[in-house]
Amino acid sequence: MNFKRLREVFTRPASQENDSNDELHFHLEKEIEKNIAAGMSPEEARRQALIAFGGIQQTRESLREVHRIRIFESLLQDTRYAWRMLRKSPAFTIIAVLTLALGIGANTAIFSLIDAVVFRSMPIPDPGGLLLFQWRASHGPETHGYMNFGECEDQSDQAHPFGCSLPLPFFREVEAQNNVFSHIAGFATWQDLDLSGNGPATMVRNLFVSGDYFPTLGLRAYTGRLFVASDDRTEAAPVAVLNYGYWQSAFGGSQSAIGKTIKLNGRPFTIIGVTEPRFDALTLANKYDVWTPLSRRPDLMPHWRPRNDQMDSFWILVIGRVKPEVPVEKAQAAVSLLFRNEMIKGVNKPVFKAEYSPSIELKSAPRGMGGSQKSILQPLYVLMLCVGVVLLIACANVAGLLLARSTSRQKEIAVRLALGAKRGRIIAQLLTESVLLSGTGGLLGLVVAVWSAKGLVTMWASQSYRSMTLEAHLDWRVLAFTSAVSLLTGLVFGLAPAFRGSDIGLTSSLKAGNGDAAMGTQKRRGITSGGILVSVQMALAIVVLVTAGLLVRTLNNLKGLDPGFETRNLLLFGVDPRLAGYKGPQIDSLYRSLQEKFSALPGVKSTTYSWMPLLSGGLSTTSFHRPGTPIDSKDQVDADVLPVGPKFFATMHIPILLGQDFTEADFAAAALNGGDKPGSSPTPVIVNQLFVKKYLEGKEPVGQQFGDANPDDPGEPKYPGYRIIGVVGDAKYNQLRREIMPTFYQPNIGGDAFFELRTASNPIALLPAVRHIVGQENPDLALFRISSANEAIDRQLVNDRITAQLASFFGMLALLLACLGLYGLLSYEVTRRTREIGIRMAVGAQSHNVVRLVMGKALLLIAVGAMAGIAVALGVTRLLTSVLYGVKAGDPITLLAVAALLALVALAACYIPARRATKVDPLVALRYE
Amino acid sequence: MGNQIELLQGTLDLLILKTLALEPMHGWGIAQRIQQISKDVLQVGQGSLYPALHRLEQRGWIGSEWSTSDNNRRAKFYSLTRAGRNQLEKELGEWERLSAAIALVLQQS
Repeated sequence: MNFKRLREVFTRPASQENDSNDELHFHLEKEIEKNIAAGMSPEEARRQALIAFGGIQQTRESLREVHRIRIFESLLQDTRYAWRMLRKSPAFTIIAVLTLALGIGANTAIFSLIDAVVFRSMPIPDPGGLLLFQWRASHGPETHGYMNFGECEDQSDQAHPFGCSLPLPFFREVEAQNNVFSHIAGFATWQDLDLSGNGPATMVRNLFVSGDYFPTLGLRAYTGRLFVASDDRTEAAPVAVLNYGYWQSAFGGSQSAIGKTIKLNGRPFTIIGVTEPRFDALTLANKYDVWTPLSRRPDLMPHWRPRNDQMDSFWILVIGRVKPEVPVEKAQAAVSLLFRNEMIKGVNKPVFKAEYSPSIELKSAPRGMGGSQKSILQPLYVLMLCVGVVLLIACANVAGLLLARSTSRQKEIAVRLALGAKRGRIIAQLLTESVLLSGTGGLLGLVVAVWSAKGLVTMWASQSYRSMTLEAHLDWRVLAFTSAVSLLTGLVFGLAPAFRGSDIGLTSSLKAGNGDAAMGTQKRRGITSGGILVSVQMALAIVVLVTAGLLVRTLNNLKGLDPGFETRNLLLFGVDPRLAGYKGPQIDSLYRSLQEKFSALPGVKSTTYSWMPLLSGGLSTTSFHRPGTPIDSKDQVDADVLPVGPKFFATMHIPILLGQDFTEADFAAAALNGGDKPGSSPTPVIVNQLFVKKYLEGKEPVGQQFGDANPDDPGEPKYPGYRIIGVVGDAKYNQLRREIMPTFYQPNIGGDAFFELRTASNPIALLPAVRHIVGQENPDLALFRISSANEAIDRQLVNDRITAQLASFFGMLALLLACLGLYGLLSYEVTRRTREIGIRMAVGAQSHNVVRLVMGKALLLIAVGAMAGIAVALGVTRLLTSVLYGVKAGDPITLLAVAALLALVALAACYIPARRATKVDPLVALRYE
Repeated sequence: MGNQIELLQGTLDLLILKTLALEPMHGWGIAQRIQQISKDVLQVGQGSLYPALHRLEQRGWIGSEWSTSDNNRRAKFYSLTRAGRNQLEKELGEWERLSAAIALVLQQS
């Protein structure tokens, strides 16, 4: 390869100027010489020469013009020529373009989704100026309660804790002392509300917001008005704002909705306005139907106590904008100081001790919020890796096709070279062909991308509870990405064939003969560039297949997990009697009544209920001093808590190992402690085995007491804590991936509950009968979150399942492409060496000798590719560790299985060419030219 | 200076090609040769000469090479390529047909 020529191709414009100048100067010098020779004096000679010379600038400009046109013209010429050449071989062009379209399209689709998740700014004016309050300390807080709804990244129970949930009194103080913020707002969500007064009762998603929420976000009303500060006072009239989409679907977009009174959880609220259409949700997965003022929270939350709104209950998120003249650091310091003082003071004891250095950080809201984004990003990154590799394989494939094609164009290229074309021009022209191919592939790929991105989002959204507002747009970033990828792809797969194709020994290729200059100027037995490409494809295919294999195994591990209870034939549904007006003991007697009636149904083997169904995502934890330590000990430990109804363990098939299940007396005792003032005897609870192992160290569990605590106010009786009456087997609580923790179960008193029905066969079939019973009991009771336990678990595994499916698809695609490449190479080899094979057979070679001849190289390529692939896979899959479960990134079984699969399929791909080789008729071959 | 006859661009190209058919030379030499042989009638200025030379080079009909001239200066020498030779033949043929045709028309009295 001639480097000097290559350099010239790229540096011509720069040196062109110098060359032109030198040329013109030379001309002038000669003119002067001529004049001197004719007898003029040097000065006269020069003067006359300059006059005759005319305008040098003009000439320079003309020359520049000539060269400018040339570049443009040659580009145009190249493109036209390339287009003609591609049209001449339609099969090749179509295959190449389709392959590239798939590869580029898949990459663009995944990228556009990542783009939507990561770069999507909040649909409000000036999202950059919105700040989120985030607390930080060196140790977690001592709280009365900590609520986190996934709006932001929260690590309150980790080593270096931080979070965005804050106490209400702190927010109110910041709101009141407002001299650094132009706007400040607080918001929180809770459970869905029962909305009635507009047709049949439905459940709606609600967000509690403070008075300045909408101005802080910069939102305006589409019709009616939005909240102002005076709406957020305790004595204010109850008002609500509707989401535009919800207003359209539930109220038909009718103006009569404004001013209408509806009932939320039985309380009357007046609708005062509707938000702008373009504002759907602040973050990805949290779309709300209504907004209500923060001060209305006690009315709408049935379990609310004044205790919940003190300085040690964290549940509200705070956002704000600083005044333009105040630097952010100053505002941050001010609120941080306020926070620190309040936290050290606490309620009766410090929430954060002084030495934990509690502080507030003002983070950019677009970056700080969107906590649930992470769960979508992870699978997307994995998929990005897979499609990236598939694109590389596609490139290698097309490069192989181009190499093979260049041999058939040798005559044409040789003639052009002989006629005086510069090699650089030929390379440029061949590259134009490649870029034209990849550009067309890219355009087609955009179509593929839009369509597949939509499909992906639909697949995701249909399988999760929360409504997602993810839309992949074709914005400039995505288009730029596609163009860059297309261009790079074209250069990557076009470069090598272009250089190879133009490097021809003229004499050999102009002669008739087997034209194998590009493919075979090397030794016959060596590895040609075609072979290298195939090995590379094999290696890359292994990487994708290993990724897919690990993901599939992760999915199987998760699906096959024994959660500690029986998941088959279990019907789940939730009911909240408080929304229909039930209070206190009425709730429990309703539950008992329902439980009896359900159990009496034919097809129902047993019934129970609990605060949350297992493996639904809901989790409740608590902490207490380690059993055996004094009541005020600093040694605090954590445990999961689940309130359950009668016959819970029997219905869920969780084995009782020691002691016994709850009796009616236990429920009564628990009811005493569930009121405003705790009773005097401990609540009976049942613990799991892990609890015994970790906290009771060999002591006899039944009868043990723990968790007693001193009262918040002196003079009040102390909390009696818990008394263990039984031990059960370990079971998962909220998520499959989360390890089982020490857990205790307590009797469920009041509140909403989820029923679990163990059925004889298909659980959903019992639903009509269940609805009938509930409707008969009280027509205002609504059922929600109905599903079978297996369905609910499947929903948890959505991400894992989709990723595994897609990775497997891409893995198979990669394998197919790689084997097609291998097949193509071998076919070509057999054709090329037909003469040689014919000769060998004529002198006595058997079939198996011929096969060995052909396959020898193939086996080498497969082996090299497989080993390289495994090596690369070992490195790459380390990135996957956070997504895997139950299988390590370097799992040898998966690696071996994948390698075996590749070998098998590859050998199958070799079969046809090998067979063709054995069918060669020596007589025909010897005559073949 | 005398009366300068305007040369069409295509004609200048033909003259350059013909001049280079004998031997390679640099731009100034080409201009001198044309002037000499045409007995000073055709004087090609650098303003039209060099653009023409660069265009011809782009078309691939002449090639160029930097070398030392007779006065030991660095100069760009042009030579006719094979494609250029073919083109010259073609254009000479066309020129002859054209001038014959014009002569016929002008002879009409």
